[in-house]
Amino acid sequence: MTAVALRQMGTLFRVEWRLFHRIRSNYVFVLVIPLLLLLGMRFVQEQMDLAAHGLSAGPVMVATAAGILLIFSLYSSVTGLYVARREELVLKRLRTGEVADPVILAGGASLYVAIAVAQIVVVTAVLSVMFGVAPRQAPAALLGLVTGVVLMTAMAAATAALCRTVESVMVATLPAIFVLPMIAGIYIPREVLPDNLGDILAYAPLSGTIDLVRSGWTAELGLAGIVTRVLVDLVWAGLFAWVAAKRFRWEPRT
Amino acid sequence: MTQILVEDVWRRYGSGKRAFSAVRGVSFTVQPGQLFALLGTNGAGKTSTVEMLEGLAAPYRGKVRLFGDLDPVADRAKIRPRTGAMLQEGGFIAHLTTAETLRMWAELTTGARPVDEGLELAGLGHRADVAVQNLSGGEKRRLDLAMATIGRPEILFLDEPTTGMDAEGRHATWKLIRGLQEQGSTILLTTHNLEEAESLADRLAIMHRGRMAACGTVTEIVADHLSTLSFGADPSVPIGDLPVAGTVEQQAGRVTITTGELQSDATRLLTWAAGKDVVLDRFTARPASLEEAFIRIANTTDVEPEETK
Repeated sequence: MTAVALRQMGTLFRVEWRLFHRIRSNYVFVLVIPLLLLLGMRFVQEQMDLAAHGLSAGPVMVATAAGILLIFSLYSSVTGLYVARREELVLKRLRTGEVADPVILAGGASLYVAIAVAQIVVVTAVLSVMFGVAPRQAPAALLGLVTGVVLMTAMAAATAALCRTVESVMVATLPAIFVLPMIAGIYIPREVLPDNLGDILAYAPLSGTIDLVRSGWTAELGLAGIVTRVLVDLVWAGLFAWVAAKRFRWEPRT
Repeated sequence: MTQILVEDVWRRYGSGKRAFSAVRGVSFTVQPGQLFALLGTNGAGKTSTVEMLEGLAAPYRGKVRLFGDLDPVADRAKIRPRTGAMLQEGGFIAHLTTAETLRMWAELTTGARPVDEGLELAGLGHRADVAVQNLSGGEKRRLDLAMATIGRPEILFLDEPTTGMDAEGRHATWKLIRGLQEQGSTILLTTHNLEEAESLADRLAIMHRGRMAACGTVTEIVADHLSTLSFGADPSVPIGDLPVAGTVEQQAGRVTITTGELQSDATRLLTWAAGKDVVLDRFTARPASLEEAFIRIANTTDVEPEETK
């Protein structure tokens, strides 16, 4: 990325930052989701017999929290943002200027990336303390976070491409909000599922990220495993980016 | 060098049986420093044309070039630092203030003038801290103009810049646009306001149903249209005897002569009236106007089939 593009990203980030603070209810969104998540985890981990599947609760919870935050704080917010900015003709306005299309999208998303990453860092830190576990393969977790952010942003752009109005965002994001956590090992670790199903779901979007984050705390993946997970995520991200590039609309339908 | 070149450009929406060509073979050129106006009724294809020049849409057919040989879509990165655009509406983030909006745009623009200067130029200095959503329609247009011009663009696209403005705002905006032209900007403006086109444009085109119905200077465009002489007269005046070349009509006590020879018919009429001692009540001589040309074109109702090529 060039220096000019970085400077433009900075401007777009600051604008979104200012707008974020202008609407007070946003603070609730930033604090409440992670808090509910932590409370929910505390409850769920007592229900699920993870040990019987050779899993330890701490790393599973860390990966689950990262997945949920990526979907709720990043994916659904950014999808809504893209559609809202399109309906206000802000995206069209920006395209009359010097900012390149990918920078317009990345710049808008950057604030929500920062928020999601901050939430993930705090929540995983708290969970690590709660469960008495520490990262053992930090680079894997970091790779998981990066691929997750890239994948969720690309998926948000692809979803926004399919939304006609702000109202339709709710419906369009439902599959990702309900189905993705089921199939990507976020709600239910794949080890708990029948073997065949688990093997197939290893290739679901975001599965790679979940595995990588968990391995950050368990060091269960070797180099080949890490590379495979990163590739699976990047292929999905590429696919969503391709849909977005083909179908993204920069102004409302008339 | 031609600053804007448009050659047989078509813009198409939809596909198959639902395809609709909003722009049908439009061609024109604009030289450096000129102000060119696209005049037309709503739906004539003005905005669809400008969006192709701005690089927001590619033509379905035909060619658009800016600054000699640059393609607005393919050479976007090279072109944008040299152009400014004012969209027909919106494009603002409602919760930002006027100053924040302009500052954002300035930060995204090469060689932008200071934000305060931009606000003052647009007459928005006193509205700097007001949220954009609380600006009036006219003020939003002025903010849009301030954004479009903050980088001192070589080519400026203005899509209906004075829509929604009161008379005072309109005149202030015209003054601003003339100022930009004096500083050397090439300007392409769309409008449905005849006075705006007539007072600002060096050359203009009248668009109707996606086509260019007329193009040239105001004088060239009205050349084919007739002038009018009119006066009120006593019913006893024998209008059949009037020594004029034009067509004479009488309606509600007012006589109207439409003529291609305004000066000589006027002279003959006045001489005749003086000789007969006839009073021509509220006598007017009016050259062919853009308004007449415009109305005549706008009233054409021929519908052309979609070209399937």
